[in-house]
Amino acid sequence: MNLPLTDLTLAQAADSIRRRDVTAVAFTEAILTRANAVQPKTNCFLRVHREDALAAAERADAEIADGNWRGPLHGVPLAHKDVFDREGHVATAGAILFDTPATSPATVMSRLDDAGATYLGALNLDEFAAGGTGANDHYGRTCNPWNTNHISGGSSGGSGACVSARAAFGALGGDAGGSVRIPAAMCGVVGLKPTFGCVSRAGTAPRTFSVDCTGPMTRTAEDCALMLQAIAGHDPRDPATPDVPVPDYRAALRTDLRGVRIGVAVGNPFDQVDPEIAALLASAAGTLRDLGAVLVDVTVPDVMRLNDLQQILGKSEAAVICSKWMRERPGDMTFDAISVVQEGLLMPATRYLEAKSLRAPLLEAHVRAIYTEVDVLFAPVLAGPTPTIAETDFEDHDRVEELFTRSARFTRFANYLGTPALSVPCGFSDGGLPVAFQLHGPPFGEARLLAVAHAYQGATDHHAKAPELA
Amino acid sequence: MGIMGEIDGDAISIWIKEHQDLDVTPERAKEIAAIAFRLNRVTLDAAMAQEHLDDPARYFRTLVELADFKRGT
Repeated sequence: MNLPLTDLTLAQAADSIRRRDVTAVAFTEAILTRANAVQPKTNCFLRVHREDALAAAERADAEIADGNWRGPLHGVPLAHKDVFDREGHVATAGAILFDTPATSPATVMSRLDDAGATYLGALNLDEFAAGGTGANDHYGRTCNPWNTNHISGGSSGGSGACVSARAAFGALGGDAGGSVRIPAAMCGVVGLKPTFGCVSRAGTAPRTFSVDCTGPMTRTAEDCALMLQAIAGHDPRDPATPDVPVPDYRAALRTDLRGVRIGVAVGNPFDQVDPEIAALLASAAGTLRDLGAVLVDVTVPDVMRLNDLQQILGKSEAAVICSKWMRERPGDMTFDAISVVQEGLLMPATRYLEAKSLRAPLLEAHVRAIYTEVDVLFAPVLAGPTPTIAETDFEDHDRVEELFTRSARFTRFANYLGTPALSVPCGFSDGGLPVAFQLHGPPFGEARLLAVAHAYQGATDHHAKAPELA
Repeated sequence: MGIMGEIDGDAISIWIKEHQDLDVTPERAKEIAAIAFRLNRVTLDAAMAQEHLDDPARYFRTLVELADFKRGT
């Protein structure tokens, strides 16, 4: 094994730790050194808990030496978007409004702790997760590791940049309209928005009530499966999590796609993609066909309408969540954070309840229209190349709204429906920035998305390339 | 009032102050109204296209009923 420790995948690192070829402490030290080197260029971390992380790694090594290996996250260093409660720490949500340390951990944090993962620290995000660029006027913006003149995407920009820069083996992000998948695509990592209710939201700072999903961001689909395995499943603290069996996501991974039918999304808005992106998507689809999949064109009904319905829920709920602060501490919130929720002030309860009531029939219609014919849906994540910081650094609200709408046209509908979606790197633009495709599936169909992505990554090496940062 | 030019920003700003207890300039009120009213109209049209609207809580049951939906089922 000649690769630097930080270049190993999560699964490879876990295997080394389990076999005691390399200690958890050695991995944590290597990752901390890497984090230190990339932080000035990416600003992906808000906090690094160096001593706590090393102490946790020492405990992991001791437990494993005693024959108490907890599983594939044991001793593996991870970092997470700063929205998850950890006892004794303040989860900022990218804002400056909070100063009371949490008294108990978010369920996802306690599950990762139980799995033996090492917590490195908290990652940057757009203020209140209310943005898609990685900008944050309070803590500084996150920059793209592949070219720091470009945005990281958001709102989980710190998570995407950190994993891409090899400063953690995986990270959690949050996705209410594309906030995992967009930065994952822009930074060149795998990002999963699970089914609504697949992963507990308890102890997680809310962006919305109805469309928030916590999901892993990793370098490979296999790594994503390992993180999802640790956090998925019913939680009595979150009433939206059904008590249904959690599949073995790693066991479901495949190396070929014989017998798999993949729908390629066509028509509005999926045909509105820049030619450079379209060519890379076509190449990726060709690889999936070469692996044995049958590809068929699929028209996805009403995507733009579903995107708008997501906005009714998201903006109404975010306006309620931010309501007290907007009235009592408006000077502590930036225009960026306030502006994207203000429309919610003008949405009557009748429209909000209609959007909620439509969710079940539109979900059922969508699933039967698409997944009667195919197993997964193949689509873009983004319509164009990752913008430069200068291209997104403006205060004109109409332009901000236009940028968000353009960026999220392929992502928001999955949040409204609650269906899972996975962003998978599939190459690089002429400018050297990552490009990705997206896989959609029916509710709780995460295993099949990960299986297709794993097969694709077995036949390609985009995920193995690292940004030249430090 | 779905067209930006027809929206009375002063009236919207006053409504927000009265009903939401928030200060929003007439210019900004006009901007957010243009977006909100379009989204409201899309939602109303979608709702009217349904025979009836059910309890929103049915959504959670539907998610589970469609779990890992397989083609051919």
